[in-house]
Amino acid sequence: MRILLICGAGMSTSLLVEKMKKEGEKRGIKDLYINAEAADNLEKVIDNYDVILLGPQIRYKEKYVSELAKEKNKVYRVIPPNVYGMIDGAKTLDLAIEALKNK
Amino acid sequence: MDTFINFLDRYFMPVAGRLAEQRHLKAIRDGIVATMPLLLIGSFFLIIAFPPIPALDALVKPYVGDLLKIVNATFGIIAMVASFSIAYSLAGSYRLDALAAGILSLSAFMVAIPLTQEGNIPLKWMGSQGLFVAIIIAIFTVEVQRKFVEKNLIIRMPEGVPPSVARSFAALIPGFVILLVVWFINLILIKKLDLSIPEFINKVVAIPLMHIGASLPAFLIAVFAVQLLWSVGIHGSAVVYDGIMKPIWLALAEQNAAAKMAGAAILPNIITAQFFEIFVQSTGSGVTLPLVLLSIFVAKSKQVKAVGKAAIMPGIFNINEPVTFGMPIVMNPIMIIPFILAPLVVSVITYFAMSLNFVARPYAIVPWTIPMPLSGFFATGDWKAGVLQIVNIIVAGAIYYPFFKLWDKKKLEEEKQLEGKKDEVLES
Repeated sequence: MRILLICGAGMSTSLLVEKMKKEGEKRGIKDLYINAEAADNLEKVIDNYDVILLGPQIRYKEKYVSELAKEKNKVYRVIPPNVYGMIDGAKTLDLAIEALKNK
Repeated sequence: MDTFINFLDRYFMPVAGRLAEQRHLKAIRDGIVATMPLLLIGSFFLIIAFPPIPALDALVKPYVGDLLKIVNATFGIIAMVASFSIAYSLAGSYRLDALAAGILSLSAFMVAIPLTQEGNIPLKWMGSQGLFVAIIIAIFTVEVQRKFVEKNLIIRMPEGVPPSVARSFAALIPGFVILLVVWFINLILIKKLDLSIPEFINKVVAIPLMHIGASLPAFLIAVFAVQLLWSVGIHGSAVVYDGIMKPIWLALAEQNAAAKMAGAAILPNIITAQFFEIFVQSTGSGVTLPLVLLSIFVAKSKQVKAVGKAAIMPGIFNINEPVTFGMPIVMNPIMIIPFILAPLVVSVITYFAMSLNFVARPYAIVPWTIPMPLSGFFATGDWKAGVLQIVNIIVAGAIYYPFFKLWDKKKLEEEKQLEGKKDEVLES
C-alpha cells in the first residue's frame, strides 16, 4: 500500500507520516510506503501512490485533487481536522485503508 | 459567531482558494520558490561577509569583495533566474513546452534590459529590482506562445524527427515574435518616454506596489487575511503570502541586502519577507508557542495538555498545525480572537522597534524553520532582534492567556461530565 500525504510544504504532514509508519509496524502491515509532499508536487509524484490524503489546511485544493485523482484512477480523502491536530497516525492509517477498500 | 464562521467557510474560503489556485499567481509562486536555494546560499555568504560580531568583522574585511561575488551570483541574479523559472512553471501548467518557454522568456528579459554605456549587462536589473520585469515578461512570453500553439502557427516537423529538434523548430515562430515585440516596445518607450521597459515597469508597477507593500497598514491587512483564513482552517500564508505578497516583500528584502552590501548603517525597509516570516509568523501563524506552553504547564484539561505536548516540538520549528487543528483554534470562536489579535500586535511592536532603530532591520533570508530567537539574530545580525522575538512571545502569551483559561475551563467541564457519565454507567 502506497500512501501520499500532501499539505502546503509537506512539513506538517511529515509529522503524521512518522506516526503512521509506527502504527503500520505495530499492526504488522507489510509493503507499507508512506510519504509527505508539497501539494504543488502532486502531479509529478501521484503515479507512485495508491491513496492521496489531503491535510485539512489545503482543502481548498480538493477540487483539483479530486479531478487529478479521477484522471489517474487514484482515491483521495481529506484528513479530518481533529485527527490532523492530534497527529493521530492510527486514525489516518484507518482512513487510507478505508479509502482503498471503497475504491 | 457561528454565523460568522459559516460565512467565512462558505464565501471567504472558496474565493481565497480560487485566488491561490489562480494559474498565473501559482506560476509566479513556483517560479520564485525555485530561486530560494540561491537566496539562502547568498544570505549565508552575506552573513559571513558582514558577521554580527565586531572581532570577526575585522577579520573578514579584506575578503569582503570576494565573498560578495557569491552574493552577486545568487541574490544578485534572482530576477534573471525568475524570468526563466516563472515562464517554465506557467508553460508547464498549460502543458506547453516548458523548457522552450523558459529559454525564450530569459532571452526576452535580456532584450528588455538596457545595457551600460560600455555595453555590459547591468547587475542592477538582474536582482530583485528586475523581479517585476521578469514576472511580466515571463507571463507575456508564455501567453504569446500559447496563442501560437492554439492557432497552430508553429513549424511542425514530420514524424521521425527527434523530439528535441522538432521542439526547437516549434519555438521558432513564437520566439521570433516575442523577441521582436519586446525589442520594439522597448524602442518606442525609449523614444517617447525616455524610459526602457524595466524603468517603465518599475515606475508604473513596481514602485507603487512596493510603496504600498512596505506600509504598515497594508501589512496589517495582509496579516489579518492570513489569520482569518487559518481561522477557517485554510493555509493562510500559502494563499496570501506565497500567493500574493511574496514577490513584493522579497524585492524589499533584496533592497536591504543591496544596501547592506553597499555598507549602509541603517537599511531602507522594515517590512520585508523576513519581517513576515521570521518575526510575525514566529513559531507559526498566530504566534502560538505561548499557547502551547500554557497548555503544557498551566492547563487542567487532559485534552488541552495532550495537544500542548504534541505541538511543542513542531512549534519550536515554526510548524503549528498540531495546535491550530488540535486545540482546535480553527472554527473555535474563543480561540480565533487571540489568534488574530496576537500577530497583529506583534507586527506593530516589531515595526516600531525597527523604525525607532532599537533593533536592526533584516537583510539575510533564513529558512523559516529555524527556531526563534536564532532566526531573528541571523536575519538581522543583531542579537536584540532575538530579544525582540522573545518579547513578542511574551506579549502574545498575555493576549492568549484569558482565552486559554476560558477554553481550558470549558474542556475540563466536558471531561468531568464525561467521567460522571461513565460512573453512572458503572453504578447502574
